[in-house]
Amino acid sequence: MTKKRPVTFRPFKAPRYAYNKLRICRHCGNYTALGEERCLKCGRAALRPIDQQAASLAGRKMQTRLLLLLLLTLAAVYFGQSLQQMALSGAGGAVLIAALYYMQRKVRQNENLVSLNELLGRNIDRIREGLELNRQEAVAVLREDDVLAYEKLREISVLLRGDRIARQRVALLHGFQLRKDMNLELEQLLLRDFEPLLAEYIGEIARVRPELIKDRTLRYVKNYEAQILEMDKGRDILAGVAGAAVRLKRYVLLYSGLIGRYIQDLPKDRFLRLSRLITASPHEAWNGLDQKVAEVREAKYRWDPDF
Amino acid sequence: MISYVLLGIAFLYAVIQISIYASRRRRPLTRDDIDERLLAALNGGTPSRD
Repeated sequence: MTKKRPVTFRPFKAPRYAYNKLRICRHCGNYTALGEERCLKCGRAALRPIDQQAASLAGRKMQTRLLLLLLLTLAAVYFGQSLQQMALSGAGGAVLIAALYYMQRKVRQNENLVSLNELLGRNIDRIREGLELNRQEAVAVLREDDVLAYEKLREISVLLRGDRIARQRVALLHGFQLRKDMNLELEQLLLRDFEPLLAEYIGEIARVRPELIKDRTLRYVKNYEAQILEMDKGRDILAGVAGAAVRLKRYVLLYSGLIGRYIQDLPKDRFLRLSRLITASPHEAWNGLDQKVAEVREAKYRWDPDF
Repeated sequence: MISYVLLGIAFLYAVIQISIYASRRRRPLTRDDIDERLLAALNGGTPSRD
């Protein structure tokens, strides 16, 4: 069994929008999701947030349109055959420029978003390429500093949410000693298929941060219950998850079968919580869980004053 | 005459640009739409893990 190391992660907060993680190199056009100062491809310190780049492109486009209108106006003035024609062309052109400028100011915010959408759509292959480069960079630092590699993968996973990155993160987390004060994730790490390391990680999360066990995790555990049971300490993992599910009445109602199967293994505080939940709502459809609770209460906690 | 033709072109150009802006403004893009499209494109249309 590998020895787990105590580690400290740098604080991390996922941005509200995933694209906020992206930066583009103004020199080579490479995209990155990592927080480095310099571009991984060309080494220049020319990285700029993607929304700033889009806003700058939108601004330039608007300026070009105004400039074109100005040129047409100037040409119209130049070709005027009389002073009256020249004045009329100049005044007409000025009105058009003013109208376009006014409209541009009104739609600027929306145009920035249009530009961002176009930029991302046009460069999706380059973005993929950049993120792959980021992933390779994370794998490259793995041997020297696995915490740094994990942190890099965590940043990339804001954009790349496939099983590949999640699997690598789970494998790295397996070597770390998890603590309550750590910035941990779970739902983002769930895979499509069964992975023993992930099941082990879920068991540890149920112990240190049970509030991270939510619907998707419970569904995952329910789907792969048989495989987890075959693992060493598989029953402990399932009991831990069942204990975490007792946190909310909704989970107890939805996963009453799973909780019922491990009710004997629940620690006293979890069992007490479950017992109180059921006592508070005796008319809910507990799917036989109320019977099981009554039996366990009678068998194990008959003389316990807490019940 | 050329002067008025050029002014006419400028007028048409301004009208087209303003109507493009106006039509985009009627159906504005949201940051959520952009985010969703980007994530779908990068992850092969798989639903987000959030």
